[in-house]
Amino acid sequence: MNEEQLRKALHDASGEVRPQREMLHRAQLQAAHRRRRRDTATAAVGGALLTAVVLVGIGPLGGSNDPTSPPGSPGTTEVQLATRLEATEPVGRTEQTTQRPSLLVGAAASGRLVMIDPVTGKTKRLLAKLDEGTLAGGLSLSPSSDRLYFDVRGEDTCQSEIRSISTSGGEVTVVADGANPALAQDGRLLALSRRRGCGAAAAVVVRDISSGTERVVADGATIGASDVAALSWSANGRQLLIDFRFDNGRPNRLTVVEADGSSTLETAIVLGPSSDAAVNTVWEWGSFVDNDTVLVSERCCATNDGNSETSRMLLVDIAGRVETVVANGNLRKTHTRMSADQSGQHLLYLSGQDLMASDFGSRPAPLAAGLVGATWR
Amino acid sequence: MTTVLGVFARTPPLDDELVVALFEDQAPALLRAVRLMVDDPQDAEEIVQEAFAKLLTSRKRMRQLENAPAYLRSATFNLARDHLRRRGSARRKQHLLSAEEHAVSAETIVARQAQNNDVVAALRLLPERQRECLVLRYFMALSEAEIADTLAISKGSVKTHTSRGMAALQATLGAER
Repeated sequence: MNEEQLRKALHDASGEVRPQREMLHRAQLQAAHRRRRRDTATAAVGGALLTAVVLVGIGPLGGSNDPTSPPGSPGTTEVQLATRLEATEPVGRTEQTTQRPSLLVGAAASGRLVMIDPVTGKTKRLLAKLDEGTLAGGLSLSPSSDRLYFDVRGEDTCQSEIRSISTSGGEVTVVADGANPALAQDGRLLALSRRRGCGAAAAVVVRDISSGTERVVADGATIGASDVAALSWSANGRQLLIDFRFDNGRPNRLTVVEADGSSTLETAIVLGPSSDAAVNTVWEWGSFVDNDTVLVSERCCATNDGNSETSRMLLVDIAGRVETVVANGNLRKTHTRMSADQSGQHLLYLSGQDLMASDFGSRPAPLAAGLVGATWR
Repeated sequence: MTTVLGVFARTPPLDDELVVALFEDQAPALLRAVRLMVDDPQDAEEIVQEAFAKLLTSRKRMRQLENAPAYLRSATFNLARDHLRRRGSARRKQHLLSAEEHAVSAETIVARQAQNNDVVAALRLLPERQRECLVLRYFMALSEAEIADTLAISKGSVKTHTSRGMAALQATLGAER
């Protein structure tokens, strides 16, 4: 084979390809999303530095050497994060080595609550051991990462209980009846879902951790919802995203409600694919990433064998526009338990029982296996 | 060019004509080149899409539009290399990431079969640098200097990889025939 033959063979082999304009559109959405995130991170760092200058009374150049700042403090993490972002952005690599959240907790199908190394995925420490299959998979860490809230199935499978444990170990304490614990960013309010037995409607309740007072912010009975699959707070603590489920094969309903209970489910925002998407496309297991971006699992068009024809993990805005395709999912698995860390940069979800992690919207990689839930902060 | 730079000095609108023109000019060749190196057309599309996303993310690069084709080439080949390494690593670890997170559609299988000729198969057996040099030289028709820029290696290395790759390809195809 000479050079000319190779040239012709390569041209023939590569085939006639006409890239769809949709490709460019997706790239533009991804870029817009990343620019917005970077700007937010930079603004946060600017604010943190300004605060440091004002409070500590040191010059900007001396700030980074402040020996009193603990290495794991939120401010330090933000600074490191943004610095790495600026330094590594875009170099043509999909994997970025930027620092991940320091604390990752997983609920195993075996009933073990474990601390997991966020980088290697190896189990670092056993927090608690419950009976196999009792952990429902809902997990939420307190803002200071010192306490973990999790849900446990009751003997009646339609009822469950929220418990908590210190992340340094110790006694498990019962918090309330309910499932899907989600702590607000300030750590004072705990959102949870609750149903009073099989056949009863599900409601979402916000509970004051210190006083124990509760108020119902979304009553599933008004729309006939029988359960809640996922629950998360917007970063500013004003809204809750609820994945309502229904009996009788009705599709789920991803709803954004006001956390103060001022909205009604009849008028609340319902998050779903735009009208030009496939009719049977479903967005589910949504989780807020910031104030207006949500990580969802999209599946489309169930087949006779029960598999989906398409499965994607998407970052979408609450108007229902797709910002980023994070991953194409395995059609043989269900994709659940979407979550993001505090910065909104590091995403987690379960592919079956495999934990997948994505940094900055890069293609997710498997981190651990055998889990029914995970969260990091 | 002043006008072009002026346009990109501001945040470009999503449907900017220049971006569309750049895409239509560059994407077909990049996509075909990547399809020679990775075996899944969907992966190839994602790689090229990601290269454009990286370009569009950087306002600085958007202001240097004349460098965009070179940047896109460079990013695309880096991404393809990462993809192949990750895939190899994943297979070694038996994580089956490729199969798992990118389940194969019927369309993909047909496309794979269409691509699956001797030359491409032999090309994919080559070490990554040799493969990249051959694709850039004989498919994208780049000069040695342009290949060196794209892969961030010296012109001497480009010559070495190209000639070794060509020899290996001839040996493989000769042995099969």
